[in-house]
Amino acid sequence: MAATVASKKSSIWRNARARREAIAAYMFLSPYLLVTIVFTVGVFMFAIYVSFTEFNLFSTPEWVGLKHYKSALHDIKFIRSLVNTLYYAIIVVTLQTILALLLAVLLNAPMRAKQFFRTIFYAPSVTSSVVISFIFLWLYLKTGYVNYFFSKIWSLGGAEWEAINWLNDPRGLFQLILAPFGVDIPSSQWYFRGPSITWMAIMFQNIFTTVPTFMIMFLAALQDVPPSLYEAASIDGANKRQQFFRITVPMLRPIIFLIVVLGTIGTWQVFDQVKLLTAGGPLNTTLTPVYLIFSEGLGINGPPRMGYASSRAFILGAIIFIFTPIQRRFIEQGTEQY
Amino acid sequence: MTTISTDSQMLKRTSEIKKENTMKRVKVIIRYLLLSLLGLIIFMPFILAFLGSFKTGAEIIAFPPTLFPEKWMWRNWPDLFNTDLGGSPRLEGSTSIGLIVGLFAFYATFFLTAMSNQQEGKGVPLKIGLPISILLIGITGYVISVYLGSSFDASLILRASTAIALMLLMLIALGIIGMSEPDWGRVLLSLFGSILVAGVVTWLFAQMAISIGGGRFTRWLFNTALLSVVRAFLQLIFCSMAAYAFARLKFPGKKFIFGFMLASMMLPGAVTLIPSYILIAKLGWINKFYSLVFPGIVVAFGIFLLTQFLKAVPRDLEEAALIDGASYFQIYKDVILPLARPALLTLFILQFQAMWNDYLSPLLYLNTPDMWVLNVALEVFKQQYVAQMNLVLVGAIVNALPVLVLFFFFSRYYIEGVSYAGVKG
Repeated sequence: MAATVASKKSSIWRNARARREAIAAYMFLSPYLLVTIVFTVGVFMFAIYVSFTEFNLFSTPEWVGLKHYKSALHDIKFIRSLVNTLYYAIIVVTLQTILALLLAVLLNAPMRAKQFFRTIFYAPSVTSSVVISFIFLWLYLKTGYVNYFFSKIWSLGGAEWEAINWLNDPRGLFQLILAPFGVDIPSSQWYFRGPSITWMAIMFQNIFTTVPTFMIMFLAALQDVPPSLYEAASIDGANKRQQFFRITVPMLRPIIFLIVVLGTIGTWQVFDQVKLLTAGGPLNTTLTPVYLIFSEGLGINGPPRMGYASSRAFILGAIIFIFTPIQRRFIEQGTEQY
Repeated sequence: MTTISTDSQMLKRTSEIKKENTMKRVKVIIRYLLLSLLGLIIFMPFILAFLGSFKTGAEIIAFPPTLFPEKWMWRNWPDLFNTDLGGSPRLEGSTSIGLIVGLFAFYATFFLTAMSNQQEGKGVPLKIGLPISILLIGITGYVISVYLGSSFDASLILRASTAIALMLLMLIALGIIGMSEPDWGRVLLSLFGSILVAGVVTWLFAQMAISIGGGRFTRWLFNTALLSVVRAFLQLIFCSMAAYAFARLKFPGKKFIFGFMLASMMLPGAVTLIPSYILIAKLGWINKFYSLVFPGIVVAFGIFLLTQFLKAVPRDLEEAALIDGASYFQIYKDVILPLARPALLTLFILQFQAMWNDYLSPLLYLNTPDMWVLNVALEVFKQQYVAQMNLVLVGAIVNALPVLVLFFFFSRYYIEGVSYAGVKG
């Protein structure tokens, strides 16, 4: 074994053509290698070092060992951001996967204007999150369309809708549900209050932009489901609902799995909407890890704490890393071995 | 008797078929109605925002909200371009714009001219050609650092890091051409010409950036468009080069590098956010376009997409070319690039959109009004015009339009790209 490896290796250096090919390959790869060694490997190594130091960009980094990692355990803000994200991940991933699948199935039927609808449905996904945020900021105003819509619905039932300040309302979901029963959750137990109204408003906005992307992925996967399965089922008298749950869902199981994983990875990295709409408020109910890393690392409210931010980034990275092996398996399935 | 019964049966059957057909038609109509309704709901925010952009500042926040503007304020749109946010343009920002476009011009010209029409050259040997080329690149690097010093008061570290980065990229181009045992007279001539072209382009774009002015909406549009186009183009060049190596060439360490690349795609950006900022700050690239272009000159996702595409394409043409004695660079330029055209277009569109819509990186690295891109500028714009939601909406729509238009024209390529997005992460 070792001998064959050695002979293979030496043949590269002996065989002029193989050598020429190898040198050419490295020439073609050199821009990538250059960039990745500096901006990925180098930066990653540096990040590990910084996370063990106290550093504010202008001082020389001061070694503090595991201090930042130990403090994470009782860093209320950081834990809060993780709990917020957990709520976010559960709600957003569930809803967006279901909605994307339903839309894809609806669009998959043979019809003439398929292209047109696909294009229309996909539009929110190509628009910048900044633009979407500003439009929703306006829709969510106390005098905006969302409150107007609810007031119309409520007036149908003869009730009065109390306008909500969507982007500045810390009341939690469970808190609201339990309030009519006279149960009040104290603020010390904020984690039982559930996602705040503001947080749910941002979730809705996020679902609006991510559903189309996942819908397209489902549509692509639906092409691979053999139509003969549906034909056989309909001959056997299965109705559409049965076909959906007995054929479509099982056949799409791998892609559903992938989309759940991708969606989860995405939800742990929410930043744009929070920065633009709430800056983590009200009462930290929309604080996310990436926003915390950004604001503490750059010193938005105080001196920059780069060591602190880097350590939090690694903890976040470790959480996301739990999901990546699954994603990796999918990529490798799509890649032939060399 | 029997004939009558079969007739009536036939009649019955045809009426059943007719019934079924009408049922089917009703179902189709319901489906279309449902889809139209969904489309309308999904498009509603855009429609409302578009109508809102023509309302007065008071009407737009009034309750109950109206659908159509009471008075159409056409003026909102031109007003956007007359905002007075920001200040005078700063020379250093404009210079960085010029040099980034210059880099692109260099690559385009050099790759196009150095290898075309292998005619009888002037017979300059490698021994003379290579040192002179390297000297030429060295001089260019020196000129760049002097130019950076003269056009504004740049720190030594900014001058050095920028000049070195540009020189390295030029040396790589030279190395790739040099691989194919070219006529060095031609290479020298082409190198000299490309540097001249790049110089002129650099100067022109720097002047253009200065004349557009700082802080105005036009300047932000210019910055965003330029950054998106140039970065996406550079990515096409560098990603396709790497993809060619991965998909077609044999070399030691290939499996490891490819595996590493796949792993790096899954590294969340948040992990390296802060240290990247420190590195860019130490390079002196804060508030320069280099900070966004150099790290993004080649992306793992792009290499992966192109590699997968190339592996599915038959290699007969290249094998024939290799037997005919074509060099690897010639094959890359004359066979691979034309073959990969659809995938390249997909990548360009996706990466153009990615840069145009990026918010976090520009927010981190660009911090004066004349250097902002639209996404960053809009936020400050919002704070400045807090009472004028209508102007903010106009700004948002202007920001969204180019990508939406591009999308409606090339939706096929987007959707092809998204089927790869399962691996984008």
